[in-house]
Amino acid sequence: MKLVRNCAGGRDAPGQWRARTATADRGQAHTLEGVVASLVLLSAVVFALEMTAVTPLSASTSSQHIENQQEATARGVLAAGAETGALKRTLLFWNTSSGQFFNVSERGYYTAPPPTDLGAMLNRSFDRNGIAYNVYLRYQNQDGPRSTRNLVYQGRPSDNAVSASWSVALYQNDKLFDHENQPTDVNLSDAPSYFAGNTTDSSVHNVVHVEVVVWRI
Amino acid sequence: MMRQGASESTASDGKQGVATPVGRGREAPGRARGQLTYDFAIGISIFLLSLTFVFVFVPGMLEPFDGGTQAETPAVNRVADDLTQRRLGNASRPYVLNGTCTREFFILGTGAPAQCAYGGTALYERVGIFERTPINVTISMDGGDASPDEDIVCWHADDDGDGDARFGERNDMGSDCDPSGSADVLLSAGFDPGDSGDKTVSATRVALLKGEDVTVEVVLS
Repeated sequence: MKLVRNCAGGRDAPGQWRARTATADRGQAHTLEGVVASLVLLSAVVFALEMTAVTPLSASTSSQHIENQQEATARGVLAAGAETGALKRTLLFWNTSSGQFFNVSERGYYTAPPPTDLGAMLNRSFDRNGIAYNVYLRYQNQDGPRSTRNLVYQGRPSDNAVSASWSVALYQNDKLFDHENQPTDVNLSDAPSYFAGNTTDSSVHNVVHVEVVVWRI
Repeated sequence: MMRQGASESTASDGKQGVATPVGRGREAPGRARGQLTYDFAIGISIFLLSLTFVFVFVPGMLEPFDGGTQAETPAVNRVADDLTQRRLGNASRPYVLNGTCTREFFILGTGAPAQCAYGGTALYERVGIFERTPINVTISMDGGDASPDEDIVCWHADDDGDGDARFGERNDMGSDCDPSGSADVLLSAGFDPGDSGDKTVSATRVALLKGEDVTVEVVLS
């Protein structure tokens, strides 16, 4: 930092010369050092700021709390839906002629809550609060590997998404529901277009793992 | 950067290194020392200013993510989980609330029913927190009929004998819901979170009460 120190110690009148450099020149260096030290401090802050992009969606203790609430809410919706049968009725809300759920978009999944009791519960808990969610159905295929079908798909979840899941057993003699949510007389075993085929020899048709993925938007 | 006190003859010595010893010799040591203090003051104050700025700015930057309610956050989650998964219902069927236990839970001052998983007469005893911690427990729902908004669940007792005992949203029931004057029960107890002015932490759970999905909200302050 001693930028202006003269290296002229060999000149005449050395005593005075040294006294001069030991006082006035050092003063100038102090100012420079102060500025440079400030720059070091400030650039450290700027560097730290640039490294961490702090956005409303960044992980923190407070957003962790909100994620916990969303996860618990999703679990409560699934548990309440399983208790009333709304979850299973939505899985059986199947249009046998078109081979997909009733009133889905042309992509084969709902982008809004499904027009069933479970959809009303999802709407009350999530849509009204501006929370996005996907509902995936995971099930065993007849030929082996597990498959996933989207029931509700609202986009790719963010990094902070949370999930809750519930398993629903479908039986051979479960009745499919029509577009008005009324039971028909079509057994699940008589509906070859249903997405989850029969995988057992027993009265259980298939087991569907319903997964709700929730995130803030 | 300028050394104002330096005499004219030595003004350029710092850069050029060609100053004459004579010119330097004229400077009194005391004068040079005064100049040094002045420069030093500028330098150190610049440094201290930026140091203060950094120390003030960095905690302010992190504050929104700091919470500040360290103890309440786990407590409120514990109370909410406890209520929806065990105390108001049955631990073997989490998130399914028992009607009787839920209604009696909000009638404070009397003993708890024997079949319910909570005890005590005050709210803090029933949820298991310290007495000095303000808490509010509210159950709200949306029946999806008259009013589109959610409101607190009201349990209308049939004390006038016209056989219309029912439960529903307060804003749907109108004069039927009169928790102060009759045996009607409003499913909300504890301090008013809107009044506290303090930091509050809330936890929400969705559960099933008499076939309807309801929201249980617990607020701690």
